[in-house]
Amino acid sequence: MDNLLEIKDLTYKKNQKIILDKINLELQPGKIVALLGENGAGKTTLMRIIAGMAKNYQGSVTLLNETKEAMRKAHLSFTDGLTGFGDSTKIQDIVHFYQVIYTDFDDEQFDQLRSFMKLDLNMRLSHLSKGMREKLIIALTFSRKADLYLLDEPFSGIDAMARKKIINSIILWKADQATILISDHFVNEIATMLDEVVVIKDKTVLTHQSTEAIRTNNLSIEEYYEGLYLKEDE
Amino acid sequence: MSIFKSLFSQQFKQKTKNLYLILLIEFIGSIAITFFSSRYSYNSSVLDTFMIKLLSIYSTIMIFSTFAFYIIICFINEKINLSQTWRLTPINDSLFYISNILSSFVTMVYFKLLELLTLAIFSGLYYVISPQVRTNVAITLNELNKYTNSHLSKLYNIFDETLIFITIMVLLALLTYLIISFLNFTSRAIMNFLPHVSGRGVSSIIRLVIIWLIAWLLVKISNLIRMNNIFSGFMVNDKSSLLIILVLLILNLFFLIVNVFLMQHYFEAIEKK
Repeated sequence: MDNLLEIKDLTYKKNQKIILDKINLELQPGKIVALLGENGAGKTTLMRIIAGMAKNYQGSVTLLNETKEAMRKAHLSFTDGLTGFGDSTKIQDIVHFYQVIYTDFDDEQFDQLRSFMKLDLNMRLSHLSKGMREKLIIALTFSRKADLYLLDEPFSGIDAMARKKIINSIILWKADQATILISDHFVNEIATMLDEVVVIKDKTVLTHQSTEAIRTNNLSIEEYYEGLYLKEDE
Repeated sequence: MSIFKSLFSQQFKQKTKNLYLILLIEFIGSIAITFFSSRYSYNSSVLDTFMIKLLSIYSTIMIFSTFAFYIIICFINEKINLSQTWRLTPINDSLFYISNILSSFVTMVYFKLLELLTLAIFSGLYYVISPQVRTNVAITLNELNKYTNSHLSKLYNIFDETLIFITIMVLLALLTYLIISFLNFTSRAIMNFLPHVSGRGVSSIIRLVIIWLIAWLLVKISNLIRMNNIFSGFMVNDKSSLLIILVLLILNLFFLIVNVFLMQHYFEAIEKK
């Protein structure tokens, strides 16, 4: 099977510091992959490079055999904090922006997700709590028919009950051949939906394993992840 | 091309968000200033005074509002360039930047047209109210008609000079947008390269150095323009005007190419927390 995403020898420096060092990663279509690592490991930076937001890196990033940023952006959906809009912007205006800018935006899908998340189109960004804003971001992200979804800590402000509901439903919102790359600190909560785990440590990919292989060793994902850090500490 | 058009329309919409409010403030502000500085009565000569004052006050406000709105648009321009929300648009950086600059230019033109329309409405109102104005306009048109028939070539010259002046102003306006972007892009690119230092002090110093370099360039351009007295009447040598336009075109192209290169390779979008 052709890889959906191929990253080869990716090195990224900023402020004279190496943030990511010779990262190699391949993702297949149709997988849900966790991107794990401690704070400051480079998870967000990696996603930003894939999405074409971070520049001046060495190595290559290819999505569906495309290296050009514009083509990559057309095929991926990244959880954006919506900071490009003023606080007085209504949700319906943000939706209109997405409808105009993204040709793969599905209005019906958004309506379903919007009612699922209990969001009112007339609400302004300033009136949304942190959790409601993140629900809106998830709804907008999954309303695009993308090949790759990049979810950067999408659940951090969402309450536990809603988080559980969303996590259980994510698999229904993506097309079969679409891949999700999700970074999150609630490892146990997302474990049930994962196909693979990628761990970033010491500026590079420490390990890339299938969850099946991990579970074969009678380990939960969290135990496996914690075990990696304990081994390193020893 | 359709993504370019969609992006352009959204950027234009973003920049014209406060435009109508500004126009309304200008409109009401002009009337209020004129009203409170004039005595209101049904006496037609006082009405004449009111209308003359209104036209002059509104024309004065138009000059200040041009600069104010231009600065506002510059800020919005750079905010969009820096914004992750906008930069996630599936379009390459060169077209993104061109769309942003073009939408700024079109917004300014749209703003000025609406102001001119308001001025025309005030003038039209004055024409309708005052018989004296109607008489004066008729006389002026008659004299202009006589002058036109006997001095056709001079009229063409005036038209040419006006066109050259407008072209130079447009190119200067575009160049200013480009220079502001250049300043923003280079300073951020340099800051990303330097070791991390917290605080705004370092970024201010870097920006001051870049401002100094750009100021040197601008002084060179302004010397060229001043040499030809372009702003004092329209007594300009045709060849020198064309040279100025050519220089401005080259500068615009130069900064456009440099800015596109910087945006593609060094200027990262950020997500403000």
